[in-house]
Amino acid sequence: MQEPPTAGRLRKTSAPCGGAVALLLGACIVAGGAYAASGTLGFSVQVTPGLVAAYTRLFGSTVRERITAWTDFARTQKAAPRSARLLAPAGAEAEALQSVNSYFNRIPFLSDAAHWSAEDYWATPAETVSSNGGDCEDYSIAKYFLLKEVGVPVERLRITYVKAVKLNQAHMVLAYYASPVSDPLILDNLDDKVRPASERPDLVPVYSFNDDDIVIVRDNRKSNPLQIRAWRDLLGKLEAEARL
Amino acid sequence: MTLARQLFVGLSIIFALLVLGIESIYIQNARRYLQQQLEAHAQETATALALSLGQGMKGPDAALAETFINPVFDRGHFASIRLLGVDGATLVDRELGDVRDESPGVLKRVLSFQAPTGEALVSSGWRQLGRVVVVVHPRFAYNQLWHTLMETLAWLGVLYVLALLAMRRFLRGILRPLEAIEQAALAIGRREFGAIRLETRTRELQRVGAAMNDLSVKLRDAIAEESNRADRMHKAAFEDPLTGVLNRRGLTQHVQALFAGEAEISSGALAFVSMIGLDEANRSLGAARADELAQQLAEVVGGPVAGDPLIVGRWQGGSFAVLLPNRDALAAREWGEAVCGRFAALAHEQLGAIEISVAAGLVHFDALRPTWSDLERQAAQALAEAMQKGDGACVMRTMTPGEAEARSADEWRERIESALKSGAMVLYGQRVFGLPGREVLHIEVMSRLLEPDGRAVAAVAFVPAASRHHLLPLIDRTMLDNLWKLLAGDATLPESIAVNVSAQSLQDPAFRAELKKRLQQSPEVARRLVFELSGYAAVRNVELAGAFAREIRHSGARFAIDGFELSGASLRVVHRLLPEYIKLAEGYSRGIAADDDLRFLVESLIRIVRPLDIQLIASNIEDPALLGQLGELGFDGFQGYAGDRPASLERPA
Repeated sequence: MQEPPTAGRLRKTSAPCGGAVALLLGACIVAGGAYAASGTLGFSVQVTPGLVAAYTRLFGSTVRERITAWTDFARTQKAAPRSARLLAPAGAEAEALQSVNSYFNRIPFLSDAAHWSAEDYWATPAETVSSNGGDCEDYSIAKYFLLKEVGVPVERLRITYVKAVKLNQAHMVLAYYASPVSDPLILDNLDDKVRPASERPDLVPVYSFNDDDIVIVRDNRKSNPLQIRAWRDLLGKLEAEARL
Repeated sequence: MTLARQLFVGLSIIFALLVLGIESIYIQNARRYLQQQLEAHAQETATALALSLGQGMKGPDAALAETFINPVFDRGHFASIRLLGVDGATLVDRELGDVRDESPGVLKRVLSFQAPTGEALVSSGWRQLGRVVVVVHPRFAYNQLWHTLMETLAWLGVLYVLALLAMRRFLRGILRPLEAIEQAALAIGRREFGAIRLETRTRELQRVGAAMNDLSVKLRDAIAEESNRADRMHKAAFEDPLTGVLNRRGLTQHVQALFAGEAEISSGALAFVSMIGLDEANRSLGAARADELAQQLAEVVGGPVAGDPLIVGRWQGGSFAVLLPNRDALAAREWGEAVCGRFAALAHEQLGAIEISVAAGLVHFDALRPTWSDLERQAAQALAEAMQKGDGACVMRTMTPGEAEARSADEWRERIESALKSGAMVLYGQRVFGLPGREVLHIEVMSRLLEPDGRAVAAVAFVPAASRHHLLPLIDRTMLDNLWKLLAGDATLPESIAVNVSAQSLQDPAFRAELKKRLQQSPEVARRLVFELSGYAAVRNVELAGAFAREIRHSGARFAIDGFELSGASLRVVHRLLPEYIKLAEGYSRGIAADDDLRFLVESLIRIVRPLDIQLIASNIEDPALLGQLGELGFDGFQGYAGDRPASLERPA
């Protein structure tokens, strides 16, 4: 079940990330209750026995094993030598990112319609891992949280709405900016290899965000949270998971 | 404060708090909504600007960026819009200076908005170009909030006023019966036991009203029953059952009571009218026919006359005694002759052959107060003379005054007028005591006339002449002047002071107006005063007495009746006028020791006046031995030598 996804398999899916762009351009920006997107939400260390039990009931007996694999992977990433981590010196990040990209790309692709019976569903990392399936948002989210957990500064990470030119479809990837002015490295479930954006003419970026954009904290109070509705829902689910 | 007002004030405050609460909730909500709108606006603008800047710019191009930013900024909603490069350097910075708005500063302090900031990353392709930072200016929000505040306040104010109006109407409706109950309670306080008509569906009020009515009716019935009983007793004791006029005892009692007091009788006559030949008629026609004759004679002597009503009594068998108050000698003689003539005509018509006629003997008095025994003796002599003369004779004598009162009416007038001018009309006072405790109830002040030889002549001696010459208002006024002077300088008088006023004074509008003014100017004196009117005057001028009583009560003074005589008419007057107290004519209180009828009458009177809160005072009590009995009977007080003699209130010069 953990074989790497193939391009052929991807091509079979008609709408890998349907609705992602629509979400952005529609009323995706809403003002609402502020969720703390900070802290350790979404990290593997947040996994509770309750969560494992709940997802075991939902997704079957292999959940514990998968979750354990995920948490072990996160732990080894954190414990890995500096050079192998995302804090690698400039120019050497690609290799460090590669293992994360590969790790999650092994999870089979499943469209939201098939997987969650929903048009657009942003799954939490634990859900993606437990259910052993996901679509482009789920991969990007899982990678984003894992890198954040490992210690990558959030401002380097941007979940990016892109257009997949060859597929002519809305798609989502995780971009890594070593510095604000640098050419980002792209973590993509369509491409197992982490490449600079300049080598990815098949992707047209449209809009990107991260936790920094989403919560602006000023005067010690949460204020002006821009929230992409799906992202806000995701944070809600993460909080619910933390309470399991 | 009335219940209605308290409720109104309380509910108004609660309503006001409610309105303020609603307003503040409303404003807080509006503020929160506006704040969220501002925040969304900031972020949306930043996002939209970032997207369009990313599309338009290929690299950091400040001039192009500013061109993108200007149209957005110039809409005026933003305090600033800045474009920062990736290194944090400011590429474009547009800031709004001070701008005026309509909302007052205090609003901004109390309901401040945080100027929300929106931020978005600008990137061209994968390349980050910087961040656009938008700060929204809250002035439109303040304006909006200010208008909302004013508008909602206006609406709530209108609603508040309407609610208060509705509430007032409602309260007035449900509490209106309370006013009726309060009026009834006040009326009961005034001893008027009327019925309340309550139109209410409020159960409690209905019950209170019904209970008050019930009590009032019972009390009124009890008093009415007692009054009827007293009336019956009075009839049994003092009236002649055959003719319905007073009997000999009643007449004597009545006339003596009049003469003892200060009743305004200046002149008059006592007539004895007797049938001649009644014994003969009795024998030949039978007792029933003789009784009829007596009834007919009673009708003739008691027939309607002009002037003060006559006091008629059956003396014995076929003879009647009649007092004609306030009549001159000529009128008295004419009356006597008319009675004789009328009866003669009647007898002739009915009896034909039977020889029966009447003789009349009169004694006339003028400007003096005769004693009853003198009057009776001289009238009897006049009758004897007339009977000697024969059929239908009418003889009139003129009362010869005793030595002490050897003054003609005109002489009296001069004496009184000079006394009024020279200050020889002085104040005397006699204290009235309570029973059984003998505490001082009040002091009755009276005028006495100082004779040149130093004697002080009591009112009873000069009132007939003064009444005849209409000098009583002047005397009363002088007395009030003296009293006011006395009160201004002397605080030793008892709290309550009784003052006699004459019927003549009551009829004098100038006197009334002056008294009213006097009382209004000195309310503290008015509270101490009780104005006494004689029972004789009260019965004959009920309307006037009622008006006077209302007038002085309005000024804070009280009203009482002295020289009170028992009769159905006088009891009705008591019910009507509700005096503070009644001073019973002297004959009644003195006679009760020996006379069962009198005692029963007085007991009945006490039962009548007690629930009306009217005190009963015995007058002219000389014998201290009587006081115990008076107290037991239920008298509230007494006046007379047994307690106190009238003494001059004038300070020695």
